[in-house]
Amino acid sequence: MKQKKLKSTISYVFKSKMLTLVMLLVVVVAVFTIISKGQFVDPKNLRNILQSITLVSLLTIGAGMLMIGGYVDLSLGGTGTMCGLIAAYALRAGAPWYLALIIGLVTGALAGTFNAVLINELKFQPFIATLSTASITQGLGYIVNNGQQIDIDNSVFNFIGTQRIADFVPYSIIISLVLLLIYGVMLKNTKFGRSMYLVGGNPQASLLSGLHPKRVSYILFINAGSLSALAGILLAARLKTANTTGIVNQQFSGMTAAVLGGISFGGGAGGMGGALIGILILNCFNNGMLIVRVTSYWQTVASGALLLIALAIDFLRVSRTKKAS
Amino acid sequence: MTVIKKALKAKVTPIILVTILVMILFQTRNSSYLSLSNLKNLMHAMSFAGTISIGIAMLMIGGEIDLAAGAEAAFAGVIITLLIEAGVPWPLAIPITIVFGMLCGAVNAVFVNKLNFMSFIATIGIMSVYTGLIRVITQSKNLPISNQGYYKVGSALVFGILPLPFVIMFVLMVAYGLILAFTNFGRSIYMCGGNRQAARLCGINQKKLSTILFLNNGALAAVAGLVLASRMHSGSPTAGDTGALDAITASVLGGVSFMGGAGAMVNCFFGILLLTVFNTGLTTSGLPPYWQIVAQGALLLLALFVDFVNQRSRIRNLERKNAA
Repeated sequence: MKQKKLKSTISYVFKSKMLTLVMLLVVVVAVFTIISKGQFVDPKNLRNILQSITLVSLLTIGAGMLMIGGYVDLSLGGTGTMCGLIAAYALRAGAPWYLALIIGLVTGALAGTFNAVLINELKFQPFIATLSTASITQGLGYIVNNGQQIDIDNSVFNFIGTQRIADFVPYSIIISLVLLLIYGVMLKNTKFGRSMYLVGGNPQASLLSGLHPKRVSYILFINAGSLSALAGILLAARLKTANTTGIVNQQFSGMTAAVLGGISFGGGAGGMGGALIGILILNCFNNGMLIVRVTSYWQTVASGALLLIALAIDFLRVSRTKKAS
Repeated sequence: MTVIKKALKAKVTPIILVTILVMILFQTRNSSYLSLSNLKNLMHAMSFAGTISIGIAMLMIGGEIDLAAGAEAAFAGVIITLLIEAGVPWPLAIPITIVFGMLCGAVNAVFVNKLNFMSFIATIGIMSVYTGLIRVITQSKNLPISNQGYYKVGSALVFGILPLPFVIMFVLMVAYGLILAFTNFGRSIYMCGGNRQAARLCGINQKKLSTILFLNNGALAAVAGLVLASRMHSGSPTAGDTGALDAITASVLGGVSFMGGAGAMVNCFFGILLLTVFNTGLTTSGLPPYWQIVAQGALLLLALFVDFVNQRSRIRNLERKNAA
């Protein structure tokens, strides 16, 4: 009897989503630590990993929430880059830091609204509509300053972008972690958060049960646009310059992390806890590739392969739950 | 009279008119725009994305998409370069490369039909894998082709005026247009894209069809890539960067619906023509290149909007008929 109980506990633990993810993370860390002969867990390198997590997590929150609601936005990278440039432009034109920040964020929100209008009012497919806004925002980013980078010389921006607590934990990562926590709690414990799952899982049913899928979709796109703007601005603040490559195409990293973390592409499933581990796996992987000196070409291959692997894991998970039910 | 009325109502008429207008506009800005040499350039420029757009349009009509098509084309260009440099005679290297393209298509088909990934997200991952692999193989350099015999494929002129790549694209478009319009197979693609459930109930094997479309798309992308390699006298790692997006834009511009189930090759042809006219025109009138990126996105949105208006009027017509 006792043995049976133990067995079921073990099988429960093994079936849990979170554990698989944590184990995957441990494997990634272990493999890279061994290959790099300990260089991977060197404090200096852990510092770098923390830094890289900041941006990806913002994009992951935005992209992940959209995916939970059944949408996708391929323009996040272009939007974020454009907003970084616009904020830098505002700073150079003499705006105080908070105004520049607000201008950048509002531009991101506007880009999100534009996407939401295309998708809700004109009934464009999210993926193709945002594919075209991706090239528009990317082009507009070039136009802000004729394709030139804009240097940032502002003490507040520099502080947020480059300073660290105890010379180790960057201040900017606190923003990301706090946001992850807030969004996670909201998804789990609020009515609005729960409604998002219903909208993503079955928009028709959500409409019939008195929810507003359209309103949810507007909020999600505006939210993702603003978060990507924040990511673009933070990157510019860190580099002390806003350039036109910025975070272009980084939305795929956000999506990969979200899928790795258990947010399903079909909508209606996943959460921020998993997303955080997805982000950690992705960043440890990318950083590990750098540490073991894999050429950047192979990194392109690996990032695509990682997305496919994440999708395959998602596929296995979905087919297993289908079988179970 | 009825012919004229029919022509005015055709989906493709507005895009032809817009193309002519845009051409006139660019001609007034730069008087050499409509010169023979520039028109030849135009034909060359449109043939790469045009050839890819055939496969893409077929996929879209069937309700799928392949965002890796450009990377597949570039991959094929590199492969044929390697084959020819390794001493394989070029007439033999061409079919091998096309088979290679079909293999790329088979990879897509496995992910989409066996593992049930959404085609657009799976092919984004695949695109990144191919793009990386191409750069690994070429070390990000152009690989020159030294066999001058092969240059003919990309630069020969048919009847002394028409560039061969353009003729290849055109012949393929006509052939595929006929298949789409007049064969059982062609019609079943529409059915599949329009209403998957109904198609299945009618006994169409949707997975088999989609696999065929992916293989076909890979082969066409390979043709586009090997012709471009011949034209550029090299296998270039960056050749395919914009290929898939150009082809999608062209197809949607020409009225291939993104929801599947509608469109034809004629539309594709005029779509790619308009896109190329626009891009070459922007370059010749001296605007900075990044305006092209904006224009591309704006054109795609415009095309989607036209598609939206078309769909709505079609639905309204149906409703009116039902009411009457």
